[in-house]
Amino acid sequence: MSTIVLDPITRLEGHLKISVTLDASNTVTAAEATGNLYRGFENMLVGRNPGDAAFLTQRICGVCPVSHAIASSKATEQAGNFTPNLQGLLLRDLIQGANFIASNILHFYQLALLDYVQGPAMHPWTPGYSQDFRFSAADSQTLMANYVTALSIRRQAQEMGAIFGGKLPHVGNVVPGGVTASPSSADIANFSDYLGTIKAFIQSEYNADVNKLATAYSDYYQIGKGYGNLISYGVFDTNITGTQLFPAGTVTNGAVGSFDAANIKEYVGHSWYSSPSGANPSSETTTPSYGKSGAYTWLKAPRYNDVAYEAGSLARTWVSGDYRNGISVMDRHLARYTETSKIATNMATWLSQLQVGVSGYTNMGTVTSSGNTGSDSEKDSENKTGSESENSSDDKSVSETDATTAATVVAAAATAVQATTSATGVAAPATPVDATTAATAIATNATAVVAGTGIGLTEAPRGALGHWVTIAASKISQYQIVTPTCWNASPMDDAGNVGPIEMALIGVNVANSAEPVELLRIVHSFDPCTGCSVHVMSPEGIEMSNFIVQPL
Amino acid sequence: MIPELKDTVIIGIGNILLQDDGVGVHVIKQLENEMLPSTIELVDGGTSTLDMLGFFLDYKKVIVVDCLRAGLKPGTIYKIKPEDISHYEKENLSIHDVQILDVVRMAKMLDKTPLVVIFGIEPEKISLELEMTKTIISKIPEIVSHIKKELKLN
Repeated sequence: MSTIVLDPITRLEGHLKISVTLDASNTVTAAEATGNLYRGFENMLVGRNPGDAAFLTQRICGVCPVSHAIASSKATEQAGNFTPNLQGLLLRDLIQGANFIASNILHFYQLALLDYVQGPAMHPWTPGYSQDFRFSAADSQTLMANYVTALSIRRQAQEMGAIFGGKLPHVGNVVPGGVTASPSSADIANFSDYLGTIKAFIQSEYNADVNKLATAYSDYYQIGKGYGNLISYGVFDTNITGTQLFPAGTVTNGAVGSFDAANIKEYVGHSWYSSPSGANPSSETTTPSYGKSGAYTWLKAPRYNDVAYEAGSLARTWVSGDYRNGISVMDRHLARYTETSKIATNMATWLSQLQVGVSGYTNMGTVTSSGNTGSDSEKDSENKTGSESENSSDDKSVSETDATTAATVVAAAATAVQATTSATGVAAPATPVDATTAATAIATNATAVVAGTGIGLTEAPRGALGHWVTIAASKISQYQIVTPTCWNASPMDDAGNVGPIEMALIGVNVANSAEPVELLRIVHSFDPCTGCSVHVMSPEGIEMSNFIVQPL
Repeated sequence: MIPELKDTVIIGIGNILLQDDGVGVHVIKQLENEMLPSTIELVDGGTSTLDMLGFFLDYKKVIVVDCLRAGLKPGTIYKIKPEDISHYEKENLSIHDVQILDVVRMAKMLDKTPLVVIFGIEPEKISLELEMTKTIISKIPEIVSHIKKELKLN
């Protein structure tokens, strides 16, 4: 018996560690996925204005900020029994769609492909394993060329999203109430140009390359299945009555079924938390207890009807019916391609549905309870009225100002705090901002929900993302986030069932335990991301005292 | 696309939810209050390091401000250029994340080699907290001065 520890395993943000136990024939008999970073961001939201959450939670992660902003906005909107107008939903779809495309292309070319292609003897191909490379020199060259092209395409996808999302990476205009942007015909044409280029790359190069991979590594259709249960919260609203491009649903033992957030529980028996185990996120608390006996990770174990489910592209495309070939490493890559292509195609449709000069934002007004049950048609007409009246002052600069104001508010609040606390001996900022004013601006701009509970469900590129909020006396009294990587890289639950990635590793045979590329391929196929997210640079082997600046 | 006049970008990297980790972003907010020439673009990069690639392709000069833990006195300001450390075998500022040096390499793959200067700030404390430590807050004016000196604005 031997063990292998892979740390870190993500090429993205991450502090995910995988430990496996091998038997005498190098077959994995046990696996542990460890999230090495405490993530207690929820606790810092308690006591804040609900409108803050959309700005602050997207700071949790530098990879899926848009999905966090949308999940948070949706949670507050549900607490206020509010649905944005169609323009707002379409703008969110287009911003989130751009992020999905950027992320999926990044995953395939920059994060996953290096497990299969022998590149030149230079970073990022070195250091790396030299095991099981099967592509011809010509194919390798094509893939490496597309690796570089993909960098440029991904960058264009980011710029495309910024047309409606404002300053990326952290969008400032996705707020409870919709999106504070009102597209001009030039914006739409510009977006369309980007989309054309990106869609062409997806449907020719990405399509060809993922199929190349599938042909060369067809044995990976049999590897890394795991439980085979899939979960999707649904994403990309196509109308105000809740229809989505990828609907919510579950796949349980092969059967497609419905999804109900009430069936989610999070277990912490093997996680470093002392808070009660088995709670629904709506009433869950987060109390860290590092070193707790029997625990091995900061990730909790979300379960649906007490069963482990896999989240991600394969879950979305299986529920939607777009891809149902199988569940494996290779199926995950093909499903990711399938949805990327479908999103790009549908973005062209959404773009054509946008109304020039119409704001995607509706003021939610003051809402006192989540018990309102106004019919959708009523909401529809209210929303339309709202956007038309805004439309009368149809001027892009106005809405841009709104967006910019919203975007800078949190930063301003942070600056204000800094200004206040740095009073001693330090020059104040040239334009001091009052923290209270900043906070009020958020309240006015974003939401006026006084009390209620809401669940904001959406999908990040790597899977189901949910935010649960409770608002009391206009402040957040409870907040809980369940991320996709929590589903996929979750630890053993209290009943002893391991998480989906752990399950996908068990039973796999490793050809060379010094280079366990099979394990990397399995874990990477889930597109894990557990950063959430410290970005401090830490030099290794470099004498930093040589680089201290001299006092001025 | 960027206006043609802009040739320098200053990018702040970090997580404002994690106290001193967010110093790069806070420096950008401070710079927004300074009257900088219109040729300079300021970017709050948050934690999306990889998304900064576009700026490395479009600008002649890129200044990065980030939290850098080397173990020296909190508040120490480091100034490094990627070429300064290119002879180090690892040439790697972190094994965990996509880092600025990776982005520099990616830009090179796309045939762009802007002048890159990294200002790293030694943190005192990184924990779940919006407000930075007093040590780092008090360093902000000095960091700004060093950036201005780099821009030849002093």
